[in-house]
Amino acid sequence: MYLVKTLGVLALSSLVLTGCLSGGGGGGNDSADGGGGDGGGGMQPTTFTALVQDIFAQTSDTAEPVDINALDITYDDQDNEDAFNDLLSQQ
Amino acid sequence: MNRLFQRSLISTAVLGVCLGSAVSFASSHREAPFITKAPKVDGTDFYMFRSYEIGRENTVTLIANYLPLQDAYGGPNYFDLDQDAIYEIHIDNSGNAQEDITFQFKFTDVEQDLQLAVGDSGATEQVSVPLKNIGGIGPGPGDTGSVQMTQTYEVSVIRGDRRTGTAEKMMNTLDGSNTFIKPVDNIGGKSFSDYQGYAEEHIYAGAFSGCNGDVRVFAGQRQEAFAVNLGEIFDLVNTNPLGPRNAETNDLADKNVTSLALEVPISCLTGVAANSAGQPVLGGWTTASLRQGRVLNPQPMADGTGASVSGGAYTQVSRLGMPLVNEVVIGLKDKDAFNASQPMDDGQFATYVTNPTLPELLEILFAGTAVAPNMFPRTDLVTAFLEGVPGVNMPVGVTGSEMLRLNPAIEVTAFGMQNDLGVLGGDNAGFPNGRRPIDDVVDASLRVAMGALISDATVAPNNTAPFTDGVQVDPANLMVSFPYLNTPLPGAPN
Repeated sequence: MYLVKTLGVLALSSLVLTGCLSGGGGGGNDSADGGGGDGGGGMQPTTFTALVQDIFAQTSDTAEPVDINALDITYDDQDNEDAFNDLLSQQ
Repeated sequence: MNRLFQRSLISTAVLGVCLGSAVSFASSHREAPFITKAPKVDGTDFYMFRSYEIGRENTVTLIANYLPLQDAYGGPNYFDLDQDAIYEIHIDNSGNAQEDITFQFKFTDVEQDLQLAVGDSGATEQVSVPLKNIGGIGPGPGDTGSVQMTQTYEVSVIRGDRRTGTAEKMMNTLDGSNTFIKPVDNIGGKSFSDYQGYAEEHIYAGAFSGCNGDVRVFAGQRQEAFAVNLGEIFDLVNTNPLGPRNAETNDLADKNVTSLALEVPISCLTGVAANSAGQPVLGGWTTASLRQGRVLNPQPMADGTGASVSGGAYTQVSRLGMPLVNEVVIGLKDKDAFNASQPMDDGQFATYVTNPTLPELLEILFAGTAVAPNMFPRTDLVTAFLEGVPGVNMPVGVTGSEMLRLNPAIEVTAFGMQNDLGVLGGDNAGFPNGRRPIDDVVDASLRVAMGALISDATVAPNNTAPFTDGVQVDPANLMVSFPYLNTPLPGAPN
């Protein structure tokens, strides 16, 4: 006997789905460094180099990732191989 | 209710793209655009079941598989996991869609530069060798003097939030340390005289506070247990979906995978979540995370900074609970988002469950044979994927969310008696009450998608149709004891 056949028609009222239309991602908190956490309505400008520096500066086993969806990223240093020498030398 | 979609716009080419993303190598493998770039953190299968090894029935086995499609001969590096990643198995024992216990695996590369003296007598130079190993390996975990790269790992047990909860490192009761050793992959018969015995030496007894009873842990390469008719499925389901269940070729039969396996006493996992009969219910899923930032080194140095450096917070890039969700339920544009998401936020994906596309696709491909259920929203799928089976593994007051759910109070079915259709086959110890290696989740999911949970045949004309991909798991390729997945295939058989 298939136990699943006892399901029949389920009432919608029994359905509880959590979550609003969050952005998903790793958690609910924005680490707003460089991000849009200041409450402004627009995209927050930043350079890619600065963003990477900010992300590395927040290295932690307990930190939440930086939300980049609210960032207006300018891709600087596209031809600069030395852009992240300081990060490489720290390892 | 009329279903509105424009069949005329669905060309064969589009269907090919859709199905190419819908079904993949394992229950969730290379299923999302981003994860194809990071195979070491690609979760392929998650198993959670009451242990059926004789004498271990009071424990639950958790197996998370990563790094798919391993060809056994894949040297010289073979298939180490990523030491910059964390691999986690989460348990929700309160029914609120949030983890209560997390087992976090963290790997460490152990390198030794093996060199040979090369040159004329009296003028030799020490030169580093290019191979993984330069001699035999084993029989014990410490017998790796001839291996240039091995891995150890730690398992943290975290209670509460996976990042901010209370964490402790599992103790290796063999030596009192917090370190476990991952066996070297099965390079072949000349490197290992007895790989099965060597791997078994890496099954450890572990301990953590608040848990009385035997805990076992293993992390290493195993033979791929998932079976699927991959090639024909990709080719616009170029097979008979109502044919024999075992008439096709298992395209994964020659592959290995890396398993993270835990065996934990039931009492150490259960919490307040219980079904209507008061029986405990566990929710489980696995995730992998990478550091958010990575910088490539244009000049990697053997004795300095390597090819890249990573930094920032851990960022989730892979998620797997119920099989096949990101494969055949979530739309292509949202697969990366699903991999980064958590069960408590699954409301954002509700439409994929209430209005699924897979049945419609099958109806198009097999017009006149396959008839998609005409019931929306598909509350049956909400139950199957987001809540559990009432009276079996649905917690009272459950917060709907996608994860595997197990009622560990249901008696195990002995290995030789297991029905690979699980609950659909009358075996309540099987899928979707947890998931065992034998469970044919492809056939079960196909049937559920086409209405197996809908009793009214006028709504679901195919509710008893025996849909199949034509491939079953071969029990001869499984073990009856922890870690249940078979010894991995050797890179060289000699």
